[in-house]
Amino acid sequence: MFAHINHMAIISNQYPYLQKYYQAVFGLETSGRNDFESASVVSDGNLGLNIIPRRDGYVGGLDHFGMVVDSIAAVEERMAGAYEGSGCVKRPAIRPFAAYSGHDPDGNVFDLAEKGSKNLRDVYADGVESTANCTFNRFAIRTPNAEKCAEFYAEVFELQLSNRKEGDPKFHLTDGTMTLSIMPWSVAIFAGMSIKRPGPDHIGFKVKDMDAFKAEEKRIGEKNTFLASRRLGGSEESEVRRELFASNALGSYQTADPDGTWIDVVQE
Amino acid sequence: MFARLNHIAICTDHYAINAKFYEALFGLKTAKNPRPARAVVVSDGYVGMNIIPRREGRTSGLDHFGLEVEDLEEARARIDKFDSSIKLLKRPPVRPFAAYSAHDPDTNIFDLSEKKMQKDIYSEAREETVRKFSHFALRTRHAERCAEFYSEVFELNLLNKKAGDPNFYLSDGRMTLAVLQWNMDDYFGMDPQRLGPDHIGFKVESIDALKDDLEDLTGQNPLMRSRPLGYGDEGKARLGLFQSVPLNDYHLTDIEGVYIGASEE
Repeated sequence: MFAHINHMAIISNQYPYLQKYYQAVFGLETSGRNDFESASVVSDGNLGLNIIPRRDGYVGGLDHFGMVVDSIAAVEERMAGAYEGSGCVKRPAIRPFAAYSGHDPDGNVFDLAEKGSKNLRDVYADGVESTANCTFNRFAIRTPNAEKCAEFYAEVFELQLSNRKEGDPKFHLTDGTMTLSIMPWSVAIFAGMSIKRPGPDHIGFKVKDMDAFKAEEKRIGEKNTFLASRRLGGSEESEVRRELFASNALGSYQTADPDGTWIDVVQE
Repeated sequence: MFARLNHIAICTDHYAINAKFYEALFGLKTAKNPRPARAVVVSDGYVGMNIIPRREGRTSGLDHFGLEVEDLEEARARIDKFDSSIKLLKRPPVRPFAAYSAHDPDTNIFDLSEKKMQKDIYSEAREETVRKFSHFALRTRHAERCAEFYSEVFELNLLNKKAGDPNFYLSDGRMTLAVLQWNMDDYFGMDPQRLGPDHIGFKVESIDALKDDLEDLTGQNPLMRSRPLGYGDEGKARLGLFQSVPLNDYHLTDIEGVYIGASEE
């Protein structure tokens, strides 16, 4: 494939806790060369998750994803002119993953790196052997012009449209391993709850054994409440939120990390 | 004026302590009948700010603003005339401010209400505090189009600006809505910030007094600390972008990093 989704980022007020949560509950690994002053980075062997301390002026939560591509020059050429409103900017050299950041026609931000480039460090260069019961399988965005954005990722990054049922307003694009889900955004979706701004919506994991995963998630949360997943549902409004999430999930089980980032879990 | 910008909302991981920060440093007052499980609402006597616990699936940070209009049906008709693709959504009745939520052409979200629909702090007669909200700033991709929207639909007055300033400033006579131009190129030396609300502003009696109070506050209660700004190359780049907005003389954050600009009366 021309592009490979191999990076996600969450911004958090409690980034060390969150690293421990993903290590404990999902079995993700660090490289051992992590620049902990900048962020925590954990990996399933295919994809790295940067858990970034929330800096001044930023919002906390699921923030962006990243792709490694065969050629950044080709990406820039494909974007130029063909997709009004999209763009790229070079990044500070300190990042373990990103050489460039770009955005799609709706302003959804992604990072870019070139295969084999010197920018790739930490888990992105070392690789981490995957022994996990759980692996990332999805990054989902909710955006006003879903079809246009799906076309953008298909044309510019050669991600393949897949798994779309007739009449489904969502688009799923794959790099062969990871799925990028582009879901439509409108205020009407948020009836009965607060409006959620367009942008990253949730992440997904694939697990080998759902019952074993749920049992382990429960055990860890009860042993150490700092590592407990957030409960979904409860009050009237939170039930509405839970139902919205479930109706857009591909997995059979939905949960949330201790910050509240939604996680969809599917049985392999 | 047809519309007043009198509502701001922050979603936060630490809603109780963050509310105390605004009470302690800016002298904002809480509602007479609080509903502590839902949110903390603080006010300067004109603008109410809901400090909301971050719920699952949501982001934390400055979240949205709200406009109180003279006639909700008229506002709906004007929104439809400006862009018929923009839809309004009726809100659950538990909200003290919002009857409807809507968005501008760039999907920046705002709440809408009429005076008679409001509850809690928004319906109480209150004295204005010494330190007051002055503006709400959002950063968006089509700033000019959004400025036209707020001007035409809500009759906010476009304020003069310096030549070459890409931003737009609209006033309800008391509060300013700053519509800042978002450009990917602005983020060369830092992580790109997402589109949407950028910072809030306060008018204060004295910047020096505010600085002294912040120093004293942090000494009294180390949980109430503002974030250091301008540390390292990336911190300088972030602060530089914040300082490029010509509304603020002093720059600080709340305990979670939400940008606050202050200027003297």
